[in-house]
Amino acid sequence: MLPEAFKEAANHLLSSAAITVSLVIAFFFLCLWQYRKVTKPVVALPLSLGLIVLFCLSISDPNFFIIISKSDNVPIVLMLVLVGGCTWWGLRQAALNDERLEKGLPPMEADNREDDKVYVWPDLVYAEFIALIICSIVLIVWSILLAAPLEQPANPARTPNPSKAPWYFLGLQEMLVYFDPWIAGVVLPTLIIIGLGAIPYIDKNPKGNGYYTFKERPFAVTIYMFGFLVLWVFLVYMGTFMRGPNWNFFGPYEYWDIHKLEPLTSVNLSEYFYMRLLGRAMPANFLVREAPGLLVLAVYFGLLPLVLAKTCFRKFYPSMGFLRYMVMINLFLGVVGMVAKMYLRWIFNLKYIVAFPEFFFNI
Amino acid sequence: MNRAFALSSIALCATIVWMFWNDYARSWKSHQRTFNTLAYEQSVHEETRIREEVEQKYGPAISKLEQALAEARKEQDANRLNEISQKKESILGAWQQTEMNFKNAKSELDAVKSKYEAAKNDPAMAAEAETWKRRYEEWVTRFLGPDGLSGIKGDFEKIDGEWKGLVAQEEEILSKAKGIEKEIAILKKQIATVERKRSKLAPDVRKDILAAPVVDMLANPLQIQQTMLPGLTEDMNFSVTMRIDRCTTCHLAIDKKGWDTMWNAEKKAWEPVPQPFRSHPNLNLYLSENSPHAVSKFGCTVCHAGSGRSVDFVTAAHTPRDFARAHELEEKLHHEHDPALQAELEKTQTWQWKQKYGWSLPHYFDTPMYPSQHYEAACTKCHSADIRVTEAPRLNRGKELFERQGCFGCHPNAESMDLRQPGPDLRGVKSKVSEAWAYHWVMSPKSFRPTTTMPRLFNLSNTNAPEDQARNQATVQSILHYLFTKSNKARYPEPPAGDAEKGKELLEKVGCLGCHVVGEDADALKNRGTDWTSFGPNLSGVGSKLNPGWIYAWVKDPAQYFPDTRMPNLRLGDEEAADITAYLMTLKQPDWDADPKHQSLPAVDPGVLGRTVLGFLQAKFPATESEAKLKEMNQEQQLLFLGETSIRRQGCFGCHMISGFENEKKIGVELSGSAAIGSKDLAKIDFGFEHQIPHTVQAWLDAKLEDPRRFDRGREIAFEDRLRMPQFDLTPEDRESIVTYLLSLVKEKLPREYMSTTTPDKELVFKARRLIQQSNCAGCHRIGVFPVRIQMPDEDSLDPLASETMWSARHLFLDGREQIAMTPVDESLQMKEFLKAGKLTEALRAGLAERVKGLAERLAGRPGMEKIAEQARTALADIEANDPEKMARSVSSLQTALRTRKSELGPDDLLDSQEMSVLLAKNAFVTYPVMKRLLRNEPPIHSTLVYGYQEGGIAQFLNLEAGDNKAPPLLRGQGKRVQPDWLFRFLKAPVTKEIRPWLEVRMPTFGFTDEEANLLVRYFSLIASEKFVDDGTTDPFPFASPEAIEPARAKEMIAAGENIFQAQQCFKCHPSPGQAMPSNPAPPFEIIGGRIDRDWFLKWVHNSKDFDPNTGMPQFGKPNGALSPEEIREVREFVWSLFKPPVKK
Repeated sequence: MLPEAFKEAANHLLSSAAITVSLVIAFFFLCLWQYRKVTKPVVALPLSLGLIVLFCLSISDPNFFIIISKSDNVPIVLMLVLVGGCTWWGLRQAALNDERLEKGLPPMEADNREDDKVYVWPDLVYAEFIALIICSIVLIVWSILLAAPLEQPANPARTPNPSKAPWYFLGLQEMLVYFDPWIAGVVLPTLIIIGLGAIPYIDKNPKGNGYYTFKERPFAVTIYMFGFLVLWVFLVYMGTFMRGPNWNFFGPYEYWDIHKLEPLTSVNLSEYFYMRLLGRAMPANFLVREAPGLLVLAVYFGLLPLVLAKTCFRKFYPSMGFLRYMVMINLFLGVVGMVAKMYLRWIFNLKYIVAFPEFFFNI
Repeated sequence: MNRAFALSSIALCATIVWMFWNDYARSWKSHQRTFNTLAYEQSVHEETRIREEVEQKYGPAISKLEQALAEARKEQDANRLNEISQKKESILGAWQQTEMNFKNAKSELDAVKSKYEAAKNDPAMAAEAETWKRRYEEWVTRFLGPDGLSGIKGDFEKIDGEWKGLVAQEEEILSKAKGIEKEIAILKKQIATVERKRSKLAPDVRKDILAAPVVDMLANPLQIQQTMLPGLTEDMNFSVTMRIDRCTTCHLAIDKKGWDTMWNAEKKAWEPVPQPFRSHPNLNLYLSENSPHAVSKFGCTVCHAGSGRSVDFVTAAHTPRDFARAHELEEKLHHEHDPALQAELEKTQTWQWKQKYGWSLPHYFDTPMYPSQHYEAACTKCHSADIRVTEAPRLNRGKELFERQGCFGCHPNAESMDLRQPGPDLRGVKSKVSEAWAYHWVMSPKSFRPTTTMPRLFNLSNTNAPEDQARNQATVQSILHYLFTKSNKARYPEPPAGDAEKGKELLEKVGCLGCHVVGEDADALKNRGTDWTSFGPNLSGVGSKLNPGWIYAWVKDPAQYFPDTRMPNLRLGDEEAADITAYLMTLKQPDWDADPKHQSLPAVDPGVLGRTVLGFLQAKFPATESEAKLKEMNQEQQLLFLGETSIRRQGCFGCHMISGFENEKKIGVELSGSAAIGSKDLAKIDFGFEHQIPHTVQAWLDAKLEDPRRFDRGREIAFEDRLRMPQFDLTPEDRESIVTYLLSLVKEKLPREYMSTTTPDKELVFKARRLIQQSNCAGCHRIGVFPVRIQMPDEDSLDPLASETMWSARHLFLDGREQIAMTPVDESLQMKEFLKAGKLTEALRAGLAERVKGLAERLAGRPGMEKIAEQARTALADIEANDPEKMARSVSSLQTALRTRKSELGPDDLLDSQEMSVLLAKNAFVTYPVMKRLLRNEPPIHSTLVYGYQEGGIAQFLNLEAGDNKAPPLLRGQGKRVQPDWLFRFLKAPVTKEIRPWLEVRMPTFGFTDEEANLLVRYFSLIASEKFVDDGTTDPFPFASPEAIEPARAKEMIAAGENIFQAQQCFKCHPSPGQAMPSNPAPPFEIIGGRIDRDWFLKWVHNSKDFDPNTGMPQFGKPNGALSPEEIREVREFVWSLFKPPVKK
């Protein structure tokens, strides 16, 4: 039903990870920037309807259908709808509240009316119980319809291709493409947990407590939503629908050809520096060899926070104090650096900034 | 809120009910229900049938008995009976009371007695003893009465006697009728049995209740059936569990007899049992408890593969037989709609399964079931030690083809390790053929000799572009250049002139035709030379290929040219060899000779040669070095380099002995062991861009065999790197057989107790059969009794919509043993009935017509056979007219006529022999016992094994009249017939002339080693033993301890023997040396003592026809024969006295 030309164009465009991710990031910032307009039903409804119609039309494509109809992938589609809906709801509330705040009115949540208060029992627990029942129904019906087959004992010598992590870990699995396993699998998850745990200590700003707002917390909301929507949900989506056999990147209507070959031409920063830029042999000493990368890292994590404290974050720095600022800025730079590293890989085929294969230390 | 809660709760309840139902309503349950219904229906029919049979068999007897019963009842004195019963009534109350009193009193008495005895013998109770004594005595008095008669016991005995008297009187009156009733019951016993069976199977509400949801946890009559396979395990990663097969959950009658056909009460006809309820074919061999493959030990998946634990059609990994074709059709239909293809697709099993079960290619199982055409692949798991698996014709054929086509020449395969290279020795090729001939032969072997097994290697699908063709030409030229340059033999000298006419005569007589065919050979084309008639190459056209010098040297001694050749030495003299050479040189291939381009070698194109050489150089050396090397080479060196490289690349040395390649490694992919092709991981197989091939190992193998180079299609590959397997031009059937064999090469190892027991005897038989096969003994001799399997069409390959007759034909098979057991008279009776019943299928009728037609033609010219020939023509007309009545009459009278002239007819000319039933079976899959069952409307049993004689013998001798002894001897019972040491010497150095001086056919010298000759001697004695002792009851010569004969008696016996010898005119056929050859000669007596077994001699003289129905030797001893056993013994002594053992040097 979709014109072939459209499919081809979509495949052509979206089978590049850089373009796909850039489009998503651009869309993300566009929505936040114009959040008041975008969340208006007049805009949001046609937008979401358009996406749904596109999705439905895409089902007619056999390749697209094969991927989305895989038993494991169906819930991811549902999750996208739910996440989109909830995000819209939150942003919409924020937009309305921000308007009210501008007019000097309290936020809607604070517009206390007595009759708005309800009891935990029956009102809350009752609703939760109904939700529980409905969830049970969905799960039972789903498992009946799915009818999981009896398979043979797993064969360790023959793993599926692509081998995918459970859906909630697909974002981390994506990181494995760009980082060493110990970074992607150990350091990053640890940092995420520490970072999430540190939020209450970093962010003492009481604004936004108990009500939706964007204008009062633009940085906090943006950075969190970027982490959650782009780096988590979108990477889950990407891992599910765009990563095919051999972990190759596929367009939405592309056939998952097991024989698709992509050139593997990644180069380390040191190689760029010495071989391309200076046109000389690689130094034998690994410290000298990796000096450019180490320098970049030192500048990025050592100097940049200080520069930022004087420039972009000059308002934050005094209010946060040195220690809190440094924790925040390093976590922030970590997030940005992760994305930057992905882009460097896609655009410049940069393998590692610092590569010590001698110690299995590659960044 | 409440409403939402109510609605969601109701929905949850409904979902839970749905969940229960979903779990409850499993497909296997409905199968079991259907089966129960079918079983009940069948039992009802069985009951009716037995009732009818009993009625038919004992009907008159029963009605007579019933009449007698009625009469006996009438005769009874009703008044008297009435009187007795009134009397019984009147005393019944008193009798019961007294009996109760008696029993109570007796028990009291016993209790008191035991207490008294205890007290009496225990000093501590002395005081009580008195009391107990008193009480005991009281009870005795009460029980027996003071006088011993009037007590309780007496009372009871009195009234009991009265009662028994009355009963006896009554019984006496009724006894006659009761006796008759009993007799009737015995006659109806069979009915009672089936009635019980039927009532057990009858539908029952109680069963339904027990099978209802929830209640079914108590005692569900519908159960999952499973077999735990002893000793077999499944590796579940981290734990090893017992292997379990649950197939019988749905295949409920798989191991039960009689579930091939069932009675359709509506149509009143037998019809096939629907799957999954059909019995397994050949239960004598499979599944039944006393068969070699009992279900309790082997289960199902050991042979069929698939998921034994699953009870669902799709997840059990069933595989349709035509998936490859269906896939291809689907691919085609995907691109364009074609109603014809669509119709074909809808007929495939794959399509039907998809519709019926939602089948799809099992992705979740590495070892899905074998499709039906490849079932036999599983046999090898246990029968790996057997060189041929008796019951697996397709597997055997696949293996045979694998060996004949020389697949093992390139592909390492454990089972073929000890085989000789299949192609001729090329180390002396220059002396044999011209380079021009060899060039055109290599380019297209089949255009010279259509029956050759030499494959095509050049100009195939990946090497037929114009540039490639030029390279091919250069390659072949260089290969030949290499071979001819390295040839270690120059041309042989011209042989003496011979007489072609005489040569032709000699070739036909001396035995060449046992292995070679001259002229058209349609059979060999069809069978691809796997049978004995075309063991050696077809000789047509050898005159266009070979030179006289080579032929002369070759026929005189093949081993001087090719030490490993299978061609034996016929010990031809110079003149004989010259004659044969002259004749063979006249066998030209006119089409080949007529083509002018075949006469010369095309000129070498230096440019192409250089480019090709460069390509191969670059594969080895850096570019500049390659260029330099090329420049250094002159054309001669280039040709040699390319020749050697190409021989190595194409693996020519896999089949041929080539100088310089004696120790080369095989070039192909390993097919057995850890890389076993049957267990190949699909992900490791390259399907290239051939999307019409479905992703299964068997489909890939078949496609590879069809066009070995196809996976290069659409690829950009350098000439040197392309696929190189040659094109064998196999038929689809042959490909299928080879695929079956390849699939049988698996990694899986079963425990020792599953392996077919390889006894030393069995091993010996297999080894010897291989030797016999490789020496092609069957080319000249008929050897022993072998089980011959008549190949049935696959169970599944029949069109399900095909006519019922076709179906019944398939199932109507019976164990061959039963056939043999039937007497000829019985057979012809059945034949008559069968024909009369009008049950002849078209195929059967055609087969019969062909048979009778051949008979009529053969008999037409024979003197004294005119009448039978006429009868045959009449029968043929009737068969063609398809008139059951007439046909039955004329065919059966023809049979009788033939039987009366049996001794004058050849074995092919009988219409009632076992051979005839084999013929019928071949044409219509019906055998006599099955016909019998058909006529009786009994469900037939199926089986496909028939014991027959393995074919063998030089074709031209097969049609000889009985008793004509120009053919090589029959080797039945050979091991017992001759003395083993003689046989050994004979095999090592055959001396045909001494034994049968009149024979023109010659036993060749095979050059057997001592080991091989011993193997054959042992083999013959092993397979002969059964036949030798079978006839124990009527055998007048049972084995006996050797008796010492006194010299005087011995002399007497010899003299008596000589008299009998003269009287019976034995010398008329058995001439002494120097005597003129009689018309019907037999071996001379002088050598018999050194050759024939002493015991066997007696049996042979007694009844020679028992051992060889076609022998010219009369039956001297048979009942009413000319000689008594004692006389035969005397003859033996005489004959043995004539033998003079040669003096050992």
